[in-house]
Amino acid sequence: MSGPEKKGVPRWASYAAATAILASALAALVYLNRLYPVGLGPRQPIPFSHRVHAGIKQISCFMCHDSATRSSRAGVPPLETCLLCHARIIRNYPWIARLRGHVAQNRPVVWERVNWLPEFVYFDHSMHLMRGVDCGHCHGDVRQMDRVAKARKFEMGFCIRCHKKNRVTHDCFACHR
Amino acid sequence: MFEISRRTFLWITGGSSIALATDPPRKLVNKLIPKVIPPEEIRPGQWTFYATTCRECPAGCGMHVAHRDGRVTKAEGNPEHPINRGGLCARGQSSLQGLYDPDRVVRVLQRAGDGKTGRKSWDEALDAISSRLRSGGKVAILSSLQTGALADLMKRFAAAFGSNRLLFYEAFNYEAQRAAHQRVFGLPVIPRYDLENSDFILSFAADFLETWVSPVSYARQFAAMHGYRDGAPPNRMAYVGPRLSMTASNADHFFQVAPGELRLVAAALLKIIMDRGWQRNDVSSVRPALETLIASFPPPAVDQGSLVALAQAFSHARRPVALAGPGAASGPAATDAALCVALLNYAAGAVGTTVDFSRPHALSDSARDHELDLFFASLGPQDVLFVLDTNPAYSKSGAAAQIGRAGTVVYLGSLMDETASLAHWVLPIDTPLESWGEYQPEPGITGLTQPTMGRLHDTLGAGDVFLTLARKAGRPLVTERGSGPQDFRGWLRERWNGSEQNWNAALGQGGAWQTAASGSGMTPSLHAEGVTFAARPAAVPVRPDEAELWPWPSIMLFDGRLANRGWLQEAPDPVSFFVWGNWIDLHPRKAAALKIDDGDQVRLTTASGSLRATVRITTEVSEHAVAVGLGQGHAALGRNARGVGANAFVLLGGQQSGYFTTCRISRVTGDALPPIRTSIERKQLHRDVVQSVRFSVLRTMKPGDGDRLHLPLPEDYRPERDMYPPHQHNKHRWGMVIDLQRCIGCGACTVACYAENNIPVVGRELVADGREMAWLRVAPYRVPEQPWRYAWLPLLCQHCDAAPCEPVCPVFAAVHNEEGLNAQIYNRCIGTRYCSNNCPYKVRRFNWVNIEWRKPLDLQLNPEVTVRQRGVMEKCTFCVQRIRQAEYQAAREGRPVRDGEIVPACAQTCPAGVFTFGDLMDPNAAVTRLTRTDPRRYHLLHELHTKPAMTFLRRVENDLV
Repeated sequence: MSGPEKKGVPRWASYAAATAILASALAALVYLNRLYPVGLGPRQPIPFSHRVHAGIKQISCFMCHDSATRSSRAGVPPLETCLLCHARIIRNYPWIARLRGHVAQNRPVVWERVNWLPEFVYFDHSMHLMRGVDCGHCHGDVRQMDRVAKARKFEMGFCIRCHKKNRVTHDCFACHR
Repeated sequence: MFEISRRTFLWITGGSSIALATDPPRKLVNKLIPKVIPPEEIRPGQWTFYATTCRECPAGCGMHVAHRDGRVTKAEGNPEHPINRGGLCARGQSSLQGLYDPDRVVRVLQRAGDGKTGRKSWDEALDAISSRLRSGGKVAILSSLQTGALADLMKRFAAAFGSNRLLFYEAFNYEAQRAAHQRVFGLPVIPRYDLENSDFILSFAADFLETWVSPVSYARQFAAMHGYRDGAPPNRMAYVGPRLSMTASNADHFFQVAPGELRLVAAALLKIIMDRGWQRNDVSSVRPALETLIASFPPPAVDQGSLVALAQAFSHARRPVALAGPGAASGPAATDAALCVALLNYAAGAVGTTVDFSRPHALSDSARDHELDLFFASLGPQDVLFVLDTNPAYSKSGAAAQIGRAGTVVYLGSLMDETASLAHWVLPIDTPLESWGEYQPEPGITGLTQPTMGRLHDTLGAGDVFLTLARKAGRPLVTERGSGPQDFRGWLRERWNGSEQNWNAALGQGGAWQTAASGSGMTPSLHAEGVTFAARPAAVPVRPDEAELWPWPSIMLFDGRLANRGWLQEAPDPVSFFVWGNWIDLHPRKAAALKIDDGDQVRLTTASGSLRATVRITTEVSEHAVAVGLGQGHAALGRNARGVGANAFVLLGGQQSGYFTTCRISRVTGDALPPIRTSIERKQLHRDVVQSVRFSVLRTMKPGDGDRLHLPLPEDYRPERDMYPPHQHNKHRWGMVIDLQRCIGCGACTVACYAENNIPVVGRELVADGREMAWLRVAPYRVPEQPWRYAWLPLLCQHCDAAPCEPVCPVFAAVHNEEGLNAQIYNRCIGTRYCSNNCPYKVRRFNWVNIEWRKPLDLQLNPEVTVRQRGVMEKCTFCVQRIRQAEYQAAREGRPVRDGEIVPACAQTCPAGVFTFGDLMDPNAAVTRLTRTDPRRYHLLHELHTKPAMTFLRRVENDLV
């Protein structure tokens, strides 16, 4: 009696299936924000981690973004600010050494911008902080972000919802001028 | 397979293929570049102001220049500066366009023997020029008017190479006035005129509100003396001249005379004063000379009664002052007129009170005509002629050929002008906003110039060029104290004695000045023997096709150096409201005699040259004169200036032609571009937009009398008249008051608005189609029953409470905001233009095209104001960005917004103090007081019941004199 011998599933196929299952599980984790629960932002020239600084070390946002309370812009800190600590601690970690090289050569670091508004929208950080809006309300939980990602879509609906809820200005001229 | 509709399919494929094919450039630069070590006191997103000195004309006003993120965006008057006290003219506003001029010379150029220009490096240029100097080249320097450090340095540079040929060339050098003061008082200077404390100004064709000596200062002083203060009659001004200039139409009395009659009117006034014994100082010693002058000519065409009244008003005034103009005139007739004016001042006791010879203006050091002639005649092949930032090839006929005689011509400047095109070397230097320097407009006032931003191009400071050249030629310059600073900043610093702290304080303040006691002038004695008049009848036009030439300096373009600035080309002439070009003014009788029609092409010819331009027929110019504006008609300079209008300087030259001489008028065929006018109707057509009140009536009115205005507040809601419910305002209701008695029409506010609000310059063709974008216009209107008066109406959005623009917008882009502003939301606007159709004030502007800001002009754009795109309506916002800035600042400091804290750009720059801005809901605000109680208040087109936030204060007709 002869017939096609019942073959077992070829080995490569089971590997492929396993890989596929693993990959889809990974994809599902990424998709469901389990791996990076707060999203993954653009790659920066120096991998500064907000998770380490704001999360683990509990440094205040205003330590570095010091103009947020007194100006429309939060301000990206000058490299000088990094050296407030890193002139003394963790001096030789390769990325920090590179940072110190930038300072030594007076060469700025060109960061990738993460959060931005269209040019016809004028937002003022200081006014929102004055009213006690937490940074995380718009910027998400940066304490968990290694690479800072855009936590919210800055669309008008997002702004208006909050303005409505808090019964604050609905003046078009507040943001558009 | 999921269902996809045909419509969705087309939408997706069509959209994506368009996107792929066109690859739209993204405006956004997604990079953040923080400083490594930030400068102190400079925060991202905040303005930093640098105090500096305006060098656009010899007046030397103080400026605050707003700096943000490495670039400057706005120039404002320095409120502390004693010359301008916060005001700034249109030309000063445009200094940013000089800095960001796309036509700037950006690299060193050398013109070879074959006329071709090639690029060189700074080292090559400086080596070549210094080796030329070392091998015996003789130095001659022709510069724009400089004082202090740079003047000293240039003098020492010339001396180091054995020369004393250094002249400060200004096209408007006030030659006649200086010559007259030399002869009458032995002082060849332009004194300081105290107009503020004068009560009668008599101007002989001196356009002191436009270009004459120090126009911002004089405009401020004039507004102070001519404005209405509670109960007091406004002081008066009389103007004698051939053309109804802006200054002339501000005068209470205008006497139109032929140019040659100016001196006769002055002489006749002097004679009347002497005959009737009205003089305060004895001038009888000049009577013989005066009578000879009067006898040599037919009497002027002004009736004796008016002359006597004028003489009486002048001589009986408490502190009269007479001014001699125009600044560019020279020659015997002009000197005669200035002599008579000097004598009038002396006779009326003005010398020592309103005319202060102890503080001569810096312009007294500018080159006089004979000095220039000698200078040019001395040029030869051995000479190295340095021309610094001045353009004689344009503004002095015949100079081009004489400059060509110099062996080497080195031009230091920022634009490729007519003189630069003659030069062998063109060295690009810093504009005043990028350089160190100082300028002393009069003794006791020294303004400092400091860099307000980093250099844009590969330029150097003029002082540094001279220092380097001297060093390379082996003759390094030393200062007065014998030290040899490496750079010009060091040179300047050394002249400022004192500690670093004082120096920084001076830099912060914008210079150093004493608070001078006014009227502490010296009283020079009269040199009667110096008073002799030319007394030769000027060439009175005998032929019917001749008339006396009257070139006049344009308020916008000055002597032509500013002609490449779009803002100034597009800013209308205050009286004619012409833009982008110049024209010839001809009296209707003269035109009829020559069979010339309005708009014809006409050629003017004098001994030194000829020009062609379009004619405007108007009674604003004397029948015996033909007037043409200076400053246009450039053959070089840049894209905006080239080929616009005609250069009237070619008609001037020596004593045979120019002012007070005749020129021939001939009609020519051919089509040139006609001048364009942005305000067509100057009659009020019984709409009563510019209103006035008689002083005799006003005097009897108490605060609170006058019109009952319908204010843009809920209290004035009228159910029977208002179609829409009243607007409730949260905290503020912004409003403005415009004092028409103070407005002189100069248009500085218009240009300031362009600078602040990113208003595009659309160019000649679009303006001709009525598509200019000015948010604020200062249109002239005829004053009823007064043929010689225009009154200006600064017209911007009225921010009505019942705004006709708002209900017609289908998309709610024109909306009333919480603080009473009529907001225009650009990102919502779809461009129906219904709002503009419905606006009774016609203050809305539509973007018909996308305007490309020629680089680097885009660096001037205000980052706080959206740049509008095509298809969007725009209008005055009351400078909402400034309101927000002040509100946020107040909120951060936990206090209410103070009255007067918010100053819109127009109000900031106005030299005359026309605008008052504030909160109508604040009972103590100045606007509330004026809007509710000033007897002169009125609303424009009040019958429409728009309830505007803009309150006008009527002009005052002084009928009690």
